[in-house]
Amino acid sequence: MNFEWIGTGAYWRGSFSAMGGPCEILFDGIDESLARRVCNLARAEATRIEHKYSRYRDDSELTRINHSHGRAVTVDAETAQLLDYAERCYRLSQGKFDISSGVLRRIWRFDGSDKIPDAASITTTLAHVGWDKLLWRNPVLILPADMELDFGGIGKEYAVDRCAMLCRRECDAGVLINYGGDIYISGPRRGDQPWIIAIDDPYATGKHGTQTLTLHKGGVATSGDARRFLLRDGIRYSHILDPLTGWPVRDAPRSVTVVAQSCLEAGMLATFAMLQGANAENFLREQNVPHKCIR
Amino acid sequence: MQLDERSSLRSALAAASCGLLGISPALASADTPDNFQVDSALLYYAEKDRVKVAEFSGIFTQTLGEDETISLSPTIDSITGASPTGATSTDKTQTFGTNDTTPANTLPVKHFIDHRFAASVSWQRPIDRLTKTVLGAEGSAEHDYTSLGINASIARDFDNRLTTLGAGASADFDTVLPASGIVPQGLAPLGVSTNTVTAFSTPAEPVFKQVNNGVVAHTVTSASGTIIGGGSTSSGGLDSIYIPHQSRGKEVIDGHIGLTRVINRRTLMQFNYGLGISTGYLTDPYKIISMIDGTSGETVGYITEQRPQNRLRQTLYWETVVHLPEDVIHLSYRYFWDDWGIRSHTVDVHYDFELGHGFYIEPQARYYTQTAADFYHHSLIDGASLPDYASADYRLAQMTSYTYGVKLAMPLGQDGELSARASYMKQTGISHPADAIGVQTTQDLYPGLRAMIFQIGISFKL
Repeated sequence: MNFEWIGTGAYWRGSFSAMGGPCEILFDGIDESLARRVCNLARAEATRIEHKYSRYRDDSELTRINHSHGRAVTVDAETAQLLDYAERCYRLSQGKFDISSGVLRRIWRFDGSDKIPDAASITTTLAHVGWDKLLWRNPVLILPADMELDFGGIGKEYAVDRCAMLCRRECDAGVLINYGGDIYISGPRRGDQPWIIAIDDPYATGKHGTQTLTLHKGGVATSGDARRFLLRDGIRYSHILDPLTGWPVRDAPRSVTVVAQSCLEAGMLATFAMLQGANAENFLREQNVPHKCIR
Repeated sequence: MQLDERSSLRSALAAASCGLLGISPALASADTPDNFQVDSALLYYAEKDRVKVAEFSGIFTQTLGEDETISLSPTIDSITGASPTGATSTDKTQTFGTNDTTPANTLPVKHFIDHRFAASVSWQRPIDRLTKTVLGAEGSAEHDYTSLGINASIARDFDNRLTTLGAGASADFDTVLPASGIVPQGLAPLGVSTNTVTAFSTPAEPVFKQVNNGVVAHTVTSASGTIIGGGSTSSGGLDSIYIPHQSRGKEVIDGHIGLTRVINRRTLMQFNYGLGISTGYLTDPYKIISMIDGTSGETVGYITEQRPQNRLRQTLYWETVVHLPEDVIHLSYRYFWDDWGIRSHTVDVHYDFELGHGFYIEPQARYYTQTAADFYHHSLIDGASLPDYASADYRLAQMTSYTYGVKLAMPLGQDGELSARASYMKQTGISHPADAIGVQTTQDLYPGLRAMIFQIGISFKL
């Protein structure tokens, strides 16, 4: 873990790698030793969640489920809660948010190229997609062979919120948790000052922020194709796949940022908005959530 | 997606998220809930050939809520040994009563045993996010001294919490009742031999008469002839003429304001100003002063000491803490002055060497120097007019002390610490002042002090 004092912002910043990306935690208004201790706890929690729900680890709980070959598996309470949540999101999105849709990524590779899969492979792959094809009766899960689950859109946000709970328990400082753009702010900075978050510009990714959000408390999540897309015949295909069609959502914003009570909620609202395509802004307005869309 | 429940989607998601976070398993934790903290220490202080103190102290802190704590701190002291009386050594045996003699060329001391019990309670609570208050009360009792006090303080963060301003006040009410049961009159001659005792018949105010060679009256009688006070030379000890049944009070009011400022990522600085007023009986009832012959320098008698009834104390304090990448340096300076003429400087530095795995070693050095009180006299000349106030207490003399120590600490469980500290203190003053007369020039008029301090501390959370 790297730990440093950011003089220009007057806060402690702990950073580490977890869940496939850079993670940082900013602490305002507490001393170094406490900030270090809390940061270490948060890192341990993020690492625990990563190890448990990583698709890439042979020993993860998710791998155990994905390698069950159609046999019934019994899951622990935490996994059961995540599956319940995933099912709820599936229902609320009428099937558009689906944790079994990850296999579509085997044929869709959003590498900025123009390689679009053919219709036959899309149809074949869709046969292995769909929450309604598996059986989930807490605590027993039967996942058909050739299907896979992944907690993309849930796992990282869940880790942010869990680490936020941990920080709140350990200290009363203003803490900002940022795990690869999924953010939770536990409270204002010293002097009741808000935190200022820059939103990545999809047209100049990673270079500077186009817009900023000021926030005292809450979760922030961004869904976008700033870094992941396909470009063919002038059509930009976002990385958001519609599991009902097997195709990327058309006319989705480049990026949707949502502010909500928790990072989980913000992340899911942003994903839902992306799945709305051209209707994303209307959807967010109807939901009456603070948001920023970049097209 | 064609949602039937558009408006309720957000609340449904919020409920689902809350459910997931609320029911999910207990958070990973590196420590147990910190709702009860124990800090305790055993201290042994030993002056060479003088006072020895064994002390137990503890702080028990219960967390009541967010930022709100209540703590109880008991202290038990056991003090034994010998304390200088204020009389100087001479080249002859000195007699302070039939059973109390001091050999030639030896500092007169008084042996004593005392126990002190003290307890304080402190309640800290926040007013808002930036403001904290502390209310406290304390009491202590020794067989000849009791003290009761209250205190309050407030601290508020400013400037994005980079600056903290604090202020506080305390009031203490003390009562002195010497072992004899009676408070001695100030600047009153002591009986030094079994010479004639002359009775007086002054009702209210005691009268002292130096008959010859330091011999004085030892009883005070009322107009009706009843003895209402006095001391018997046959009882031995440091008897003096006294007014009976008088315990005496002392009130101490203190206030302070302080500023703590984060200078940069590594440096914290603190400034404090304190103002204190003491009124009442500030004299030490056990201290005496040698009366010497103005020519030979020989001791001819003793009188009790007498200090002013008021004392105004002021303090300026500066501290800085520097966090190096691993280690921490603490440096502080304190300037003290009062209207008794005492000015003191204290410089203290300690350095935490982190040894890894929670172990650290902390060397410490401290320098202290003070000027004498205006009314400090190592002795007074017999026959000369007495000053209004006089004391030969070594603590009011010009002096310098150095303390060197080292502390070693190791972790104890998840949140505990076990530490041991050893310090050596050396105090020196003016042993051969320019105004020494006759045989006084052969004597050490400020014998100084050396002491060792050992402390074992333990702290943990329950």
